[in-house]
Amino acid sequence: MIYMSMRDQINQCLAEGRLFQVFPMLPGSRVSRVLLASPEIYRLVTGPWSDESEEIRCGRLWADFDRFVEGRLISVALDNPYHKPRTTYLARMDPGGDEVWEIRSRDPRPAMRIFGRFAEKDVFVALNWDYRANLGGPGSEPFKIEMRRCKAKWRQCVPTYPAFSGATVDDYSSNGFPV
Amino acid sequence: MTTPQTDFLSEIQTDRPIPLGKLAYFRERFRDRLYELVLSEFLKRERTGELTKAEVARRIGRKPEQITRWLGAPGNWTLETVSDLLLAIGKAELNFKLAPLLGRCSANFHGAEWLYLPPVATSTTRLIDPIGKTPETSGSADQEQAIEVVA
Repeated sequence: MIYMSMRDQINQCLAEGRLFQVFPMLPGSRVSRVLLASPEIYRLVTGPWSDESEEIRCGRLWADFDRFVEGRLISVALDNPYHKPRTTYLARMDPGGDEVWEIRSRDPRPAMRIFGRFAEKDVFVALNWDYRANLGGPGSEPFKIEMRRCKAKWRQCVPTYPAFSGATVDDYSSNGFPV
Repeated sequence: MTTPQTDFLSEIQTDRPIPLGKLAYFRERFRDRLYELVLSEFLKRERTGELTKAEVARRIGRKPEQITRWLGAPGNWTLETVSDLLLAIGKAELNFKLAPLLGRCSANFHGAEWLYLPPVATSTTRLIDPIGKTPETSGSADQEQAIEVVA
């Protein structure tokens, strides 16, 4: 039996095309946080898209991803999944112990939610997504289904390790401010 | 696999029409960078007890809840908003300088030394399936608005 660390398992996924690293779109931009994406997420930003509105929407999503990757200031909701400000960028979902997070790409409509988990500080693995309008109210069954999908996809990538867990926003992300 | 960075600027480099997705990307990036500048200035002063949202509101003749909305996201900002916030928060104005997009060096650091870095992908290696989801259309924007307020 070969011992593989979580980093080894992630690297294996990258080598096999089961994960992709999302880089800033502009050459020369700094990479301060790591965003890894499943093929499902990666194709949102690489296209092709079904029409112009989808292309525009995904262009804005890529800019949202770059905000994370370039280490810019982000708002992070850790312990208030149902009372966070509408404008929160990154939020941990309920129950917090599941360590499923969402990147909230709100603008322009239709808003999108990108679900994923932290592998370690400043390393986020984005695994599945849906339009916000398809997810119903906070805590709804569609949200729970996406959380289960996220955990299942995590287990496919990193079968022997739980998601990273921390106590403060700074444990998860540098240059994040708690909301 | 990696994102094909060099492809991204090809239309800009060659004076071809710029695709809508790239226009959207740069609009959002522009807004984000302004937002980060203003918000980080505010947070810096708020942490030292120099400034509150109420004080910003008083200085520019707005209600505190308006300042909260503006500092929450830049979605509805106008040029006037930026000017007002910079004056009230930073006692400053913007210093303009163009940063050419072409001729930028490729980044040689990909965020974590332990990460596997495969050969750079080209546009021909992009995934070909469409994204395959549609948002619910019946009242989705209104529904989202209502849900977000509660959340």
